[in-house]
Amino acid sequence: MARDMDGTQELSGAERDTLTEVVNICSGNASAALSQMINHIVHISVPDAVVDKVERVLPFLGEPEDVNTVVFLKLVGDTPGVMLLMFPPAMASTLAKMVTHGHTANFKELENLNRSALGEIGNILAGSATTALSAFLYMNVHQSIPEVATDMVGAVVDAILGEIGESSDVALAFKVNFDVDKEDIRGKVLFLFEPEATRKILNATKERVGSNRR
Amino acid sequence: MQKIIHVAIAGCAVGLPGTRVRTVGIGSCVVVALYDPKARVGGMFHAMLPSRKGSSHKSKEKEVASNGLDPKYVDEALGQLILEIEKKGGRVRNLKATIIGGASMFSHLLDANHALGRRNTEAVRILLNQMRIPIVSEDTGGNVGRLAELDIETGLVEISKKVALGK
Repeated sequence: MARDMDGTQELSGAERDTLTEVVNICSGNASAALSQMINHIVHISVPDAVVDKVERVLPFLGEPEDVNTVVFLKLVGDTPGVMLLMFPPAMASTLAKMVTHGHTANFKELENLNRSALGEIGNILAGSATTALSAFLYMNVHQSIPEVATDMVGAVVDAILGEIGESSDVALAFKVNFDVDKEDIRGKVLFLFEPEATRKILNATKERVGSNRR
Repeated sequence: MQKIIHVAIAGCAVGLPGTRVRTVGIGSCVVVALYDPKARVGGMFHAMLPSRKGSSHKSKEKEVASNGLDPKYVDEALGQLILEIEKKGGRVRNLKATIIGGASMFSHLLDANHALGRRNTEAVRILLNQMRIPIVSEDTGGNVGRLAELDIETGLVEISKKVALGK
């Protein structure tokens, strides 16, 4: 990874392409899992990447004042980071109903059931993403239990950025937009890593691609 | 129509009468609004972390403002906000403070060990006490995000929340 004069880590074009491709494989796997779960085609965008000071990553994640439902999972192991699933609350609710088939005992339980269903969707998506990472790069990555919150994007992610900010000035973020075919459901999957994890992914990719060439 | 000055995360801004200073999406971050009712000048900072010392890395001096203060950290943000208020004619001994934020949005995954929101508000209280700046009101903690707006004309602080019921 090249270092500029300020000491912040910048990615070369090739490094950015490599990481984007790795995230593309992960999100491809994740969207296939989602597609199976809800029995609809899921479209995903090419990942968008940003490397910047921790506080400047926030606008990349979303409009700070907009309310979103966010599913949050921690990735632990060789490449510590976080995965976030973000939706407008109404779309999160529609998606939750698709996997629970609208089963609710009563209105009081609806929120808990939706929350739990969204957490489970996060679990499965993160599981397929990390499986891809492990299989492709021989990386050892585990995920935490999911947590779900609905609030302003800025308020939900500032603690996550704060935690990264305690060990690094810079964060690397990838964003993949997705939408569900024939349904009004759009959202985004985000992966955030510290520079250290980024370096590991790059090294593992080089090793892997290098050994295939031989 | 009053001019609105937006304070971004890790930012700090001061306004004069006729303006409103506003910041949004306050979670575990802490926002402090300071106001001098005599000089009618005030401002806000929106800090992410208690101090640079607690962080396990060193920020590059070149990246912070020319005075060396980075409003990402509570202690430095307070220093910078007071400097800017003084520049516009305010006096430290006239200042009154409101503290907003310090929530914990993910209690299991983030706050079990770190309690960042609580550490942020603690850092603010200690510093304001040291400087003898009275804390007039406080809306902190819980698991809810907040928005804050300070009207420099009147010194009135409005704090609001966005609660989603339709999920």
